[in-house]
Amino acid sequence: MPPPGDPIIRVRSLVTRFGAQTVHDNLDLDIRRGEILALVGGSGTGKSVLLRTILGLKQPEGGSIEMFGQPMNTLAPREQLHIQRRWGVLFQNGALFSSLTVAQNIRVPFRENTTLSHKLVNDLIRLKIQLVGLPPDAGAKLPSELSGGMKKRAALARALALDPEILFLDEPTAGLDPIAAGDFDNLIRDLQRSLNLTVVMVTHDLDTLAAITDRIAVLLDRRIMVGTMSELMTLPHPWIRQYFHGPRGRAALAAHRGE
Amino acid sequence: MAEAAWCRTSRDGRVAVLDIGGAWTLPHATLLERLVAGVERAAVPSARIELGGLESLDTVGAWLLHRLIRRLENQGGKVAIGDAAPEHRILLQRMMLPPERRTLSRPYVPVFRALAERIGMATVGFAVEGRDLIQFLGLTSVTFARVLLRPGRIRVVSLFSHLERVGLNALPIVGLLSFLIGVVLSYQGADQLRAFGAEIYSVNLVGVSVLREIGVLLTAILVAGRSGSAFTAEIGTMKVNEEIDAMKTLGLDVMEVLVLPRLLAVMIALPLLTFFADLAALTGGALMSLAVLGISLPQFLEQLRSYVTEATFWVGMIKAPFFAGLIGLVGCYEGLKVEGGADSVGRMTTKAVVESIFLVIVADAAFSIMFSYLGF
Repeated sequence: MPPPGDPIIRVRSLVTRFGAQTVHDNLDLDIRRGEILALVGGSGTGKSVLLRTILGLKQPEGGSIEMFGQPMNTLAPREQLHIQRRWGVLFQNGALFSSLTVAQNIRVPFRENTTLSHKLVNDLIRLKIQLVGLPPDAGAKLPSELSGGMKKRAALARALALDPEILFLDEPTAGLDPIAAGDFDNLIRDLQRSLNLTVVMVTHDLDTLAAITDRIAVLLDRRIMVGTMSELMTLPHPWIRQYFHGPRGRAALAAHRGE
Repeated sequence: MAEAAWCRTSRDGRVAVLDIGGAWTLPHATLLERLVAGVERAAVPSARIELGGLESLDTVGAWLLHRLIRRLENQGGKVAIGDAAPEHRILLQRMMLPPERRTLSRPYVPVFRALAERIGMATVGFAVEGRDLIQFLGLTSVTFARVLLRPGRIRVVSLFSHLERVGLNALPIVGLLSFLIGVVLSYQGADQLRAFGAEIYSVNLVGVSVLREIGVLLTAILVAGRSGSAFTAEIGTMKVNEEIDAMKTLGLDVMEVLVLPRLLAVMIALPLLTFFADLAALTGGALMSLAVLGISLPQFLEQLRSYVTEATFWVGMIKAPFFAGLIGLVGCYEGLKVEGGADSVGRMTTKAVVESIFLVIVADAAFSIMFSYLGF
C-alpha cells in the first residue's frame, strides 16, 4: 500500500458546465491518502457537482480525474467497476433502499461483488452495524422505521461494507441535531483512523470542519483553494473571511480550541 | 507463486506460534476462511499470534482473526498477540466487542395468518376508503355551494389551465381511439350480420353502442388514466413538498384552490370530449361501412337517423358529468392522501386510476339498470 500523503485522487483542469453556465473552470485538486478533506463553498459553487463528477455520476466537459493513479475516463467499464469497489459513498439522505431492511441494504454490496459464505456475510453485517454505532436490533428494521441519524449510520454501514479505501460523504451532518452531528463527526474520525480511510466530504458544518478535517478545499470563482483551516483563515479573499471569521466560524473554532 | 495470505504454524515449547502474513483482506476472504478453519481444526492449546508479516488488514481479515482468537480461548487456550503494526492492533481491538447475535431478518409470520391479515386489512381498508370518499364528496359539495354563492372566488385562471390540459390536449388521443373503435365495431358487426343478409344493421349497431355506451365509457377511461392520475400526482407531490401545509398556514382553502378547479374542469371537459368521441367513432363507422359494405354516406346517415333516436344520444351524454365527477373526486382525494415520500405518490396514483375506472364502470352498470327501468 502506498504511504500516506500520496495523492489518491488527482483532478486536473476539470471543466464542468450546465448549458451556458460554467461551474468549474480548470479546477485542480489533489486528495491525499489518509486525510479527511472537506469541500466547502457557497450555494451554487458546485460542491456536490464536483463530488458527483469525481464519482463518475456526471461526465465532465473537460479535464481528467485520476483515482489510485488510473485515469477514470479512459478505463473500460469493467475496470471502472473494479475501482468503484474501492470507494464507499454516503448520500445526503442516506439513499437506503426503502424496500429492504438495514441488514439487507448492507448485504447488497456483498451479494453483488463477493462470494463469501452466508455465515461470514451475516457476521460482517452485524460487525458493520456495531461499528457505526447502531443498536444490534437495527438490522431487521426498515429504513422508514429509523430516525434521521440512524438512517445515516445505516447508510454509512452500507458504504463501509466492502472496506473501501476512500469514503465520500455528502453533507453527513445535515439535518442532524448538534449532539447527533457531533457524535457522527467523532464516528467518522474514529473509523477513519482505525480503518485507514481517506475521507472526502461536502459539508456546511463549521463544527465538523474545525473538529475533524485535515484540509479544507474551498470552491471559489469556479476554482478551488486548499489548505488547513488556519492557513485558509489568513487568506484575504472576502468570501473566506466572511466564512471563517463570521460569528459561526469563530464560535466553532473557539469551541474546538477549548477542547 | 507466492500466496496472497498465509498462516504458518510452528511450535515454541508448549505454545503454538501462528505467523500471519500477506493481505488479510476481502478479495482473499475465501482463502482466509480456509486458513482460519485449518488452525481451528488443529486445536492448539495456547498460541501466540505474530502479525508482523501482515501487509494489509481490513475488517474481514480482522474479524476472522478475532473469531479465531475467541474460538481458541473458548477451547481453554491462552492467546497472546505478539508483533503487530499499531494500525492492525487498533483494528483488531475494534473487533473485541463481540456483536450481539441478534437476528437480521424480519419476524416470520405464518402464511395463513399473513393471508388472513391481508384479507382483513383490505376489507376494512375498502370500507374506510368508501366512507372517506363520501365524506370528501360532502366536503367538495359544501365548498362548491359556498363558491357558487360568491362566484368571485372561483379560480378562473386555474380552471381554464386545467380545462386546457384535461380537455383540449386530450382531443387527439380521444379522437383517434374512438375513430378506431368505430372502425372495429362496424367491421365486426358487418361480418356477423352478413350471415343474415342484414349488413345494413351494422349501422344501427355502431350508432347505438357508440352513443349509448362506448363513446362515453372510452372517453372516461382515457381521462381517468390521463388526468385523474395527473391530479393525484400533482397534489401528491405538493403534499410531499409540504406545499399543502404552506397553503393552509397562509390561509388558503385547499379545497377551493386545488380541488374545485380540477373537478370543475373535468366535469366540463368530459361531456365535450364525449361528444367529440361520438363524432369520431361514427366517422370511423361510416368510413368502414363505405369501404367494406358499400354503404354510402347519405345511406349511412339515413339509416342512423331513422333508427337511432335522440334519446340514445342523451342517454350516453347524461352519464359524462357523473363519470367526470367520480374521476375528479378520486384523483384529488388520493392526491391529498399521499403521505411520506415520493414512493407514496406513485402508489396513490396507481390506486386513483384503478379506483376511478372501477367506479366509472360500476356507475355505468347502475345507469344501465336505471335506464332499463325507465324504459329508454
